[in-house]
Amino acid sequence: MGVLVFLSYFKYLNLVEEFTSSQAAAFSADLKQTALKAETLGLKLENLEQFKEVLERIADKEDRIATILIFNSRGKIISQFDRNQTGLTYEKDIVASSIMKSKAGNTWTLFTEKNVGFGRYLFTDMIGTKIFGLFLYDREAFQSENKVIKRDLIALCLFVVGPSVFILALMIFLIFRPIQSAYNQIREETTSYFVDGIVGTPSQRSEYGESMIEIRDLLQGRKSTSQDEVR
Amino acid sequence: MINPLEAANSELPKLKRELFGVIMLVVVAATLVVSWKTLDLFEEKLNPLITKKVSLIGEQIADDLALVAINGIPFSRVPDLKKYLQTTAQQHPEIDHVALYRNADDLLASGNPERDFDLSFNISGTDQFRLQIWIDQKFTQKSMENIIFDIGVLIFVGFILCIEITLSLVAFNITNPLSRFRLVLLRYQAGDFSRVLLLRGKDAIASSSRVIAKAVNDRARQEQGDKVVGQNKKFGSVKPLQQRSVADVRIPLFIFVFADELQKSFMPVFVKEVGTSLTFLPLDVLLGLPIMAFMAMIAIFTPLAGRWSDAYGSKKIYLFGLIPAFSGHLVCGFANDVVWIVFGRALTGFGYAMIVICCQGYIAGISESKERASGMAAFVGILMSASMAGIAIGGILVERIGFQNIFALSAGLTLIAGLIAYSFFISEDMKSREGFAREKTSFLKILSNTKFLVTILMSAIPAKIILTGFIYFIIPLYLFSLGSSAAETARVMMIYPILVIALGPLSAWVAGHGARTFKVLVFGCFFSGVGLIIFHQSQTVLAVILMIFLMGVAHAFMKAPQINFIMEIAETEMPDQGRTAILGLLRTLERIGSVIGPLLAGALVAFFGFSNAILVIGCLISGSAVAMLCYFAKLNLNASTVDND
Repeated sequence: MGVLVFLSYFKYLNLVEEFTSSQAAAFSADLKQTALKAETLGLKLENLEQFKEVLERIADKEDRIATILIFNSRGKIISQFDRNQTGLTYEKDIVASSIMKSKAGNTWTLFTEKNVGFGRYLFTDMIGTKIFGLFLYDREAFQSENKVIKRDLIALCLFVVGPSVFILALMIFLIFRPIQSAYNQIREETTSYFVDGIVGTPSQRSEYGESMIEIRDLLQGRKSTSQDEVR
Repeated sequence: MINPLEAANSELPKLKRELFGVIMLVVVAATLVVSWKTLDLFEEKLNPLITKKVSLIGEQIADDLALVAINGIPFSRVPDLKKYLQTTAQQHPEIDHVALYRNADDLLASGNPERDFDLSFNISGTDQFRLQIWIDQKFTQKSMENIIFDIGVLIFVGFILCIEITLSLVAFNITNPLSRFRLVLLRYQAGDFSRVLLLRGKDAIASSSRVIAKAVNDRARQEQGDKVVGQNKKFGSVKPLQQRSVADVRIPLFIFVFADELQKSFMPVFVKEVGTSLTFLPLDVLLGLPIMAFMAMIAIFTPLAGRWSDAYGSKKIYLFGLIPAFSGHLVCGFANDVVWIVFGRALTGFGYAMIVICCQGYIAGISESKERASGMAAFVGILMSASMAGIAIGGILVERIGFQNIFALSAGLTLIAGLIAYSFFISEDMKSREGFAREKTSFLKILSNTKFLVTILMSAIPAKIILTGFIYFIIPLYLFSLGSSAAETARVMMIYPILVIALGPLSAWVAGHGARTFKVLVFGCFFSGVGLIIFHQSQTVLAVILMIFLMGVAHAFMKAPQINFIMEIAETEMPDQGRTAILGLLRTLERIGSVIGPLLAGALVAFFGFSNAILVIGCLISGSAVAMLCYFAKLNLNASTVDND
């Protein structure tokens, strides 16, 4: 049950990542459309005010987004949005790792200390430079949501395991009852012949009791008296 | 009055059945409840994410449409507007349907949904029109399909664990103490007081055994005192009674094999990811080297380990075997080149050979013949069930914890298996050196039997080639190339052992009820390759499943007839060499196939690609069956010609 909950939790994290990544795909389509419109009108992407508007609009729609970076394959940041206005100190590293990852595929995921990033290839501009978008989500927001699901799953597991263990224990007790009475008799007869002064006799004697007497007599080095005692 | 010992003993089969049934029922019911509630919980948490995404897409479409409206262009004049809406719905699997409505009338819609819309958007520049979106209500469930499969696999693994745990618990707490207690009482009744039974626990058998043991020990001490004055009788030094049981082996073997199988669903993919600096061999061939090294070590060391186990005892060899097995897992975990993985797997193979053979030897040493026979069947069952559970769990876990951690987990489990074996195994099981020195088998004499040799070459070795080459090597790589996850690969790979176990009794029944063993063997061998030939070109997971299904069914039906047929054709050697030696030789020689399999498959993949490699292996296996049929048909023809002459 624990393994099931543990694995389900990981699967859930995968699904959340997948869904968030596909959300980034929808944002990217918006950005791509804006950029292509600007290119058709002969506007330079770097000077495009509309880009900033789109980035802000995207950030308004998804409050978990901390930063959005639009950059090209040469590592130049074309436009960016930073919710906290603090400025990323490590943006060059992020862009560099994104460019590395973009070589393996058109989408990628990036984990930093504070963010979870979903990157996508957007389009290739008129001079053949690839343009990418990176949506950095606040890691804490992710983690707090994950904590809730973790807590719920553990509670669910305990809620089911508790009664299950009780039911199982009860049923096992009932299953063991027939064997328990046989065991009690074994205990009683053994104790009668070997503990109670070796000469004790139980209330009723079974074949097992007779074998106990036989062994007791053999141990004492005398002829077995079990049959005599029965008579 | 009824003998309580016999009464308890006669209750055991019923008790086992009921216990297993109850545990299964509770575990399955609890798992289903947890699974159902988990899926509900996930759906509840994931639905807002989907709605959020669809809402974003809706806003984007509404923005585009607003551009049209603001510029005063009527929607009816926009070319391909309906196609645009349909394409948008198709691009996003979360969207079931998109429609543009004017008032209440459907103006432009990409379908005609029967229920109310989920999201509605205003379009700037026009009051009459509204964009409405229907979310695919089954999308979350579809996304969770993998989880449902994993839950199914976990329930299945839970089922296996229930069997193992129930059998072990009953054996340790009831069956073994009872049988040992009965044995010691019989000894005492026969006047043999050389052993005492010391059982731990508070139950009646344990306490009774201790009470009697005390009396025997007291008597022995008393006699020791008498001996001093020269009156010694039959009480010598009293030793504890130790008796082997399958239960001693069950859990340590299960955990060890389970730990080793965790890597099976992803090994070639892992090797590919680690990469290599070696350039003298194609990468695809290198990918098969770890499996080959593992199989080779098993093939080489199994016969030797059997002798070591006889000479030094199963417990010592088991514990010694853990050292290379544990180190092998760690080496693989830290490997940064194929060479290290090959070395790691070779080490693990060495340990595996020792551990598995000493467990087999341990069971073979059980004194009661009936328990020994059922123990051997249990041994095969433990190996198969641990293999299934290991492959399945490994495939699920690797997606989250990564390759390296799986090897660390395997190493940890190996240690746990060692700790359990240390406390469960009985040390006193060495054969006398004279005993095993006499056991010499003339393998050359058996091999000079051409029929035996042809059967090995044309049936046993090809069966192993297809197993290690196709299932263990090609399947993980092929499915990975088709976009399957490790968990999916594991589920597909599990089909084979499930079929072999499930159809095993049926196969044995067919073999034992008049079916001609040779015909079943040839058909089995032939059909195991046919699936590969038929489906090699359809590059889908379903085709792979069908290939494995046909192969699994064929192999399940081949197993029993193969042994029967070998025994038939080696009947002249049987009196001198013995059944065990002939079967041992069969098992040793078929491992050549296990070693060749991954290497051959790697080379074929490197030169012809996956589809053609699968075709070639299929042809090779089915072809070998035809060749065997031709050889034996020719022999029969010659024999009948001689008879006629």
